[in-house]
Amino acid sequence: MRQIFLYSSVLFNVFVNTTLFGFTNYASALDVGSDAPPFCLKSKNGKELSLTSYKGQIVYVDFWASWCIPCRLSFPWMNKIHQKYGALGVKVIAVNLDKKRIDAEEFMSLVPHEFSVAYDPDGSTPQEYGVKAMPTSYLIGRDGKILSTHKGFTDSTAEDVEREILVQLGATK
Amino acid sequence: MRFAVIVVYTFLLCSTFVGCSPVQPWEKGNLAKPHMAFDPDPTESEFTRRVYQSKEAARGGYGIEGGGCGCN
Repeated sequence: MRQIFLYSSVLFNVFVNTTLFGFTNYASALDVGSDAPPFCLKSKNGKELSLTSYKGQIVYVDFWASWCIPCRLSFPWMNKIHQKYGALGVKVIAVNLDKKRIDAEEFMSLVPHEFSVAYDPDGSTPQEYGVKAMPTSYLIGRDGKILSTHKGFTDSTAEDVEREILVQLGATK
Repeated sequence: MRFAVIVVYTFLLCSTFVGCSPVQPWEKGNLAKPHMAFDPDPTESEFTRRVYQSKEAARGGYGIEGGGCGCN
């Protein structure tokens, strides 16, 4: 009798471990200093947008969705960053994670923006980047390594990122 | 016989776990919709609460309220 319980509890454990922890990919958030995973996504104008083509530039990758309020708040700020530092080699890429593209387009038609927007409805890129909150943004240096990650968007996020960009521009001028 | 029953029962119990998977942050679009909120219209529910309190003489019960001054 005791053996039966032992067998069944072992079986139960195996099942729980494989179903809950085995098949699901628990991607951990990327550490500062690690290589930014390359991605190639469809952009707003239908062209392919590849991260590798911006090597040598400072890239700000932001994962956002139209239903996420802080993401919406970050749009005007990202546009400002693009206008201010775009010519100095800072590239803003906003990766949209809406399931329905029309939701993103509806929002973007209301908010003026000049930076690049890419679409990833399947969510494979945030999986690779280990996104844990919406929005999450990554500042990627000229060498393709992650300089900093930011969860959420507040005024202090905006200040921090701008300061980091300025440091990078100053250091590499 | 008893062994078989336990094994089958365990399999059934285990199979319920197959449906479990963590929801990723970017998959929470539906949860962000206004009609998914606990309280979709705070003004409306505050109004209802006030009416309920005065009609039913049932002040309180929604947490800590009032300063004991007797005013509603």
